[in-house]
Amino acid sequence: MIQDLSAGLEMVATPETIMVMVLAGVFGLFLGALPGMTATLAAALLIPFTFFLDPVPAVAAIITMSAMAIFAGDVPSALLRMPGTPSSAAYTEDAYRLTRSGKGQLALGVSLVGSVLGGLFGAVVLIFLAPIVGAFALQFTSFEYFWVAVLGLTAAVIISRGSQLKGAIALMIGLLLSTVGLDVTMGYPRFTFGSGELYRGIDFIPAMIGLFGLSEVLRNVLAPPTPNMGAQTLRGKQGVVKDVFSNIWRYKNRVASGAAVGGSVGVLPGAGSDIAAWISYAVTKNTSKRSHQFGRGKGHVEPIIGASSANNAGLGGAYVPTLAFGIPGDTITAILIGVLLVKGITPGPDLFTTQTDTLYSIYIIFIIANLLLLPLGYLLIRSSSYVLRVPRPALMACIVGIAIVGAFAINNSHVEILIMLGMGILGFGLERARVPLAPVVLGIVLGPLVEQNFMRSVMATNWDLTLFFTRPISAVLIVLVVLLLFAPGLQKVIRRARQRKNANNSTRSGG
Amino acid sequence: MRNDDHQPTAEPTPAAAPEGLLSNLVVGIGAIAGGVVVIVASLPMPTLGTGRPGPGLFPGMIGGFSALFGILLVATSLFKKRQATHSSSGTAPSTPPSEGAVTPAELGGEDEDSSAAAGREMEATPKSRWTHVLVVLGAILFYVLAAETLGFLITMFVALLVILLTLGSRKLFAVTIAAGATLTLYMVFERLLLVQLPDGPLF
Repeated sequence: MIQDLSAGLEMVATPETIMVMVLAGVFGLFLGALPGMTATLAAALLIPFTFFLDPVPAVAAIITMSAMAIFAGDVPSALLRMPGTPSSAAYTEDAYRLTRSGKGQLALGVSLVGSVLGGLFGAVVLIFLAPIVGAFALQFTSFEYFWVAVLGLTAAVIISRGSQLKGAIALMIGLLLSTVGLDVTMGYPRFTFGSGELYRGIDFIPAMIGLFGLSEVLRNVLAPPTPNMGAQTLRGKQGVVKDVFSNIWRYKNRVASGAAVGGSVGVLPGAGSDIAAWISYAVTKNTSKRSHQFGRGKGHVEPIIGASSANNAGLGGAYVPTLAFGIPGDTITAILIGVLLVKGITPGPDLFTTQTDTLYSIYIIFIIANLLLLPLGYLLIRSSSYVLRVPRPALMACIVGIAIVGAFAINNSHVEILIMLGMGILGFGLERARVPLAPVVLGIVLGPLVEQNFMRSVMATNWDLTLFFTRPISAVLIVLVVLLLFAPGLQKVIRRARQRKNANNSTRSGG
Repeated sequence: MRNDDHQPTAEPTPAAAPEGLLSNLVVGIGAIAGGVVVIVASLPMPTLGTGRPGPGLFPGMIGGFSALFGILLVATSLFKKRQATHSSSGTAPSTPPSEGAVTPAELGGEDEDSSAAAGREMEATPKSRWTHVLVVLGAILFYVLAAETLGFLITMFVALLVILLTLGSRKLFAVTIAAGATLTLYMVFERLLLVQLPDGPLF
């Protein structure tokens, strides 16, 4: 283990990796701090650059960027009352109200320290949980991999926001896109429309750039210009740093519970930082004596501490299924898996047996990224008012530029730009129809996995389908899938029954 | 790219059932139609030696599930709408009373006269902003079509400049940003990452 640790450290501690981490961090802070620019968008724009990096710096760039972007989302929350990323939405009101009553630096300060502590906890969750899950995954054959992929797909749909049927349809779109190109069994070209350039399939990278980069641009230019009237400025005050740490110390239980919520929610496939933040906010609100002050009046730091540590902790948790099974925990890890596959690393149990140095370097990256957040985040808070003044048209034009060149750079071909364009229109349309995009990505990433493992299994056993159900680990996974599928339905039934009971009680007592 | 013909939208002001009935129906019907097309396309795909399903199996299943989910979505949204009209009015007229109109944009892009739209709530998206979307898409398409002949530097500069001007930047600012961004992209990708960006006749 010590050996792996030093090998991992050696891989991370190169000037190239450190420089990439700082640059990606600044990039994440910048995009995260702009309202409407999500961490997923930042990740999508980052992939063309990671394409040219070695695997470890590429992973480092994505991890650092996402840790930074999720904290940075709190900055416009406090200054403009607009969350920079969906992960900050839960406690925007509190942060903004604190700023209005002159405590903006305190609000952002506790959010920064909470993020760092939560992120570190998430790293610990990853370090301890991933090997256990990975060891379990070592016993998998293609049958189990099929079911794990199905589990990931089911979870993606169940947890998707809004209508689950729409989530399911989004998943089908993603799966269908993954079938374009030569098929795995006999190399038959599917849905290529006679174009030889589509034989290699829809490349993941331009698809992501379109789905999350271009579609966000289209959404932004369609949205009414945001009035900047509510913008607040942070007033400098002596002793705010001491204030921040004393508040963190006072609410250390919130940091702990937020981190625990975030770490465990993040592990679930498909549930990311934003869900973690909402749950932590709800937990804090339900258990605090001061909950009447949350989101009203002058705002309160308590829910910010809990939720900001939860959303950063969720990040580490999301890497557990990603590294152990190759099943992404959220959209950013889905993008990461795509990048790793391009780099020739197949996430999964192999990482725990043959590539342990890569695994340890990922652990180390997580810790360094969160420590790096402290100074860089501090700089962002100091310069926040300048960042928020970036003119929108310039930003949109730059994103379009990166999207075009990024898509082109993958294969030096214009087909990729057209794929990016098409996926951008698709993502834009789906988002307008309130169809979630995350299942589309998971479908694209997991589709080939499901199909390959299914076909490999049935061809090896001459179509003995019973083996899918009779192997013990398969059975456990099937139970999990079924539970996931029916849990929301059961909850609904229970809730309805309870409501009916309450209604009966009230009518009885009332009349 | 200006769309000057003032064609009034054919549909009457759409009535929104809870949770955007219209978008649900569009998505649902799209899923059904798409699913059927995919199934039909996957039928002629070859089978593995002994008549076992091969490359067509997965697309076929995806098509089937897509159609199934589409039917369920259409059915549940119609059911919800009926419930909503029943509970609100008791009768079930063909056009239920609206609860918060759907923006005309949701109908598929056409908007009414922008002056009328301006008079209404800011909910409605004026036509000018739809041209923003078209310009961004058009600029990318322009790049794909022109980059090979004009070269990266000119094409990218023009594409970005058009986007900046359409989005309302001042001329000098737009030129500066477009030139700066183009040069930065060129330096980073062509020089640093060694991507062969298309060369033009001049540069």
